[in-house]
Amino acid sequence: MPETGVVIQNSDGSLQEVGAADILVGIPTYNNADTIRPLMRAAQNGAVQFSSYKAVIMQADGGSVDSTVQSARDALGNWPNLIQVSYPLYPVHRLAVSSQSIPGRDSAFQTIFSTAERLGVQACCIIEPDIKTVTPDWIGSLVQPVLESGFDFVAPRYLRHKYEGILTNGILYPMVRALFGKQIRQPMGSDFGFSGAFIRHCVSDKNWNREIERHAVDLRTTIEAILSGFKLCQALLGPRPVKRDQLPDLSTILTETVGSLFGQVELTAEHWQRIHGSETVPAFGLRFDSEPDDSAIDVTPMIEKFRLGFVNLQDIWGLILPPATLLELKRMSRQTDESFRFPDELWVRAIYDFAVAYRLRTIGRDHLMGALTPLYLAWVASFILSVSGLRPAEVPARVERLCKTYEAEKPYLISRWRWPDRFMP
Amino acid sequence: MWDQIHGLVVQSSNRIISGVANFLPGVLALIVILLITLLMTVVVRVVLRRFLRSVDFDGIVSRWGFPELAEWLPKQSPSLMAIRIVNWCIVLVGILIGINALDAELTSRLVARLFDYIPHVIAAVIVLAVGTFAARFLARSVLISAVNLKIHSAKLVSVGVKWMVMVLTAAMALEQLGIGGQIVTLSFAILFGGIVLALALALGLGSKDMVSRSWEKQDRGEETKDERLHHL
Repeated sequence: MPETGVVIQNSDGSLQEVGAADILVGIPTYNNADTIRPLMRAAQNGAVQFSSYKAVIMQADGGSVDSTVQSARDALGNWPNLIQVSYPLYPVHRLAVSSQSIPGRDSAFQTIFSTAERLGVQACCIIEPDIKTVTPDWIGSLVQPVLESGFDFVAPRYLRHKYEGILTNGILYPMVRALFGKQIRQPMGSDFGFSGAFIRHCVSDKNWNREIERHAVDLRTTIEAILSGFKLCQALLGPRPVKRDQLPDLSTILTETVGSLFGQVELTAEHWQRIHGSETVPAFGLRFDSEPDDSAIDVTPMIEKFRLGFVNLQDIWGLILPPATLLELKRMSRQTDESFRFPDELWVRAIYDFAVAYRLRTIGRDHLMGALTPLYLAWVASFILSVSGLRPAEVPARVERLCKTYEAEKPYLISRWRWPDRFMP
Repeated sequence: MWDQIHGLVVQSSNRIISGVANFLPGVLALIVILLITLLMTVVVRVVLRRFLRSVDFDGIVSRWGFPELAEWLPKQSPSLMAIRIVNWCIVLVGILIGINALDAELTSRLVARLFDYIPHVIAAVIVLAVGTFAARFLARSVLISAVNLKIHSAKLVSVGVKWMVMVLTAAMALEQLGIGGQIVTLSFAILFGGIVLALALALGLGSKDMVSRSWEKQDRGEETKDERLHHL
């Protein structure tokens, strides 16, 4: 830990000397003038809860053209422990169509991590600025397990409506759990907590620095924490409302998320093939109960898209999926809307087949994710129909069943991974 | 007079016999060279096939990121294509050597013309390869995007795009080879125009409901429930 101050260059070019800190609250921003004030105040209130530690709030801005930087400064008044720096944002970040709230998230993470390392912090958390409902408790939930219980990596756990987070429920969580053996409910999230040791590990790891540029930084960081044997836990943060106005199309979301996961699966094959089963990851924070919501979702358009996909994409699916799976999909396409079901075993095998095709580059990777979209929508329709009559408290059991199927079918993935041409049931 | 006639007949017969006698070894040499060439192609095919299989040539091509290339090649095997190219090169060289055995002057003239033409052939082959690759890639992109946009005539649109690019490619390749002249350009313009019109009709008819629904929705500021789903 540095004994004297660290000089930081602020985003306006001025130099600021910051003494060594214990806690760093990192907030990456890019044109978030409408949400930054309440977030900065919540971060400040959260930071002052830890009165025996020195806490610093860091705003890493990607070059906002609105009043984000000024609003952040105004929100904290003359509070001395605010650092405002810029993170490099390249044209590729600006041009990318993304579901992320800020462009160049990997670059923002790198900037926050390197500052945290220079300050020699014990704990750091990153909160994304796209919502106004962040409370000081979020800072506590993300930092406290690191400071007081010795955890190295704190993943977020949000409260979701039963129809929300279906991609997380249907692919991301179960597959990360089955392959990497840790039951982290939200492997891709917006808010995380880290220990100083974990940050030092990431900053010095060339692979991490390289991979976060290619794949989703949150997922890569989660998997890094798992595979490097760091102590993991989850923070119960409650609901996280979603801004839907700028979401890209579903294929882009799948490319960003599932594509990133498949990329990580490819890179870590020697690790996950040795892992069996999964273990729970402790969760801390406030308990929230889901409110029942009986709003109906019309699944007919999703099923129609699947049927259209089945008629038109059979040739492409035939390159990826084995004949037995195609036969099952044919049967599915003949089901009525009311009785439409996508069996878990079939879904899991299809996802594993797509992971193998991603690795083998059977078709272009963007095409692969595009070809997955109608299948995913069929799964979404099936999932919605299967939980529509359930109370919110009963939905986790349904997700748990799916997770067990992912774990049970893992030998199928290993066989296809090792012998993609020979093992084609 | 009879002596003169006899002399002429004998002379011409001698010329023909000597001509045939001069030509026969060349023909025999040509046959032998062709037989050796065929034998060499068989040997090279076997050796090359084993070698390419041992180095997993198909896998290397795929890993280099050319899965589309693998689909474009016959029987989806890049190694088979490589073997065929090498075989045809051997056959071509064999034929040239064989003709040289018959008539050295003819061969040099042939080789000169062949070398003049080869750049055009290479350009045409490259145009064809790139065009076919682009056609398949674009057709697949259009098909997947159209399905995800819920356009019912997705396949038709995709096939249309594929043939549009293929026609353009074929016209460019023929122009490189100097075959057809103005007729190719004219035919291309007619065909291309026809395909564009067919595509426009197919897209218009196939997606008119979707477009009208989309406009209505935009007018009313609505969004469907599935669009409101938050997937993450």
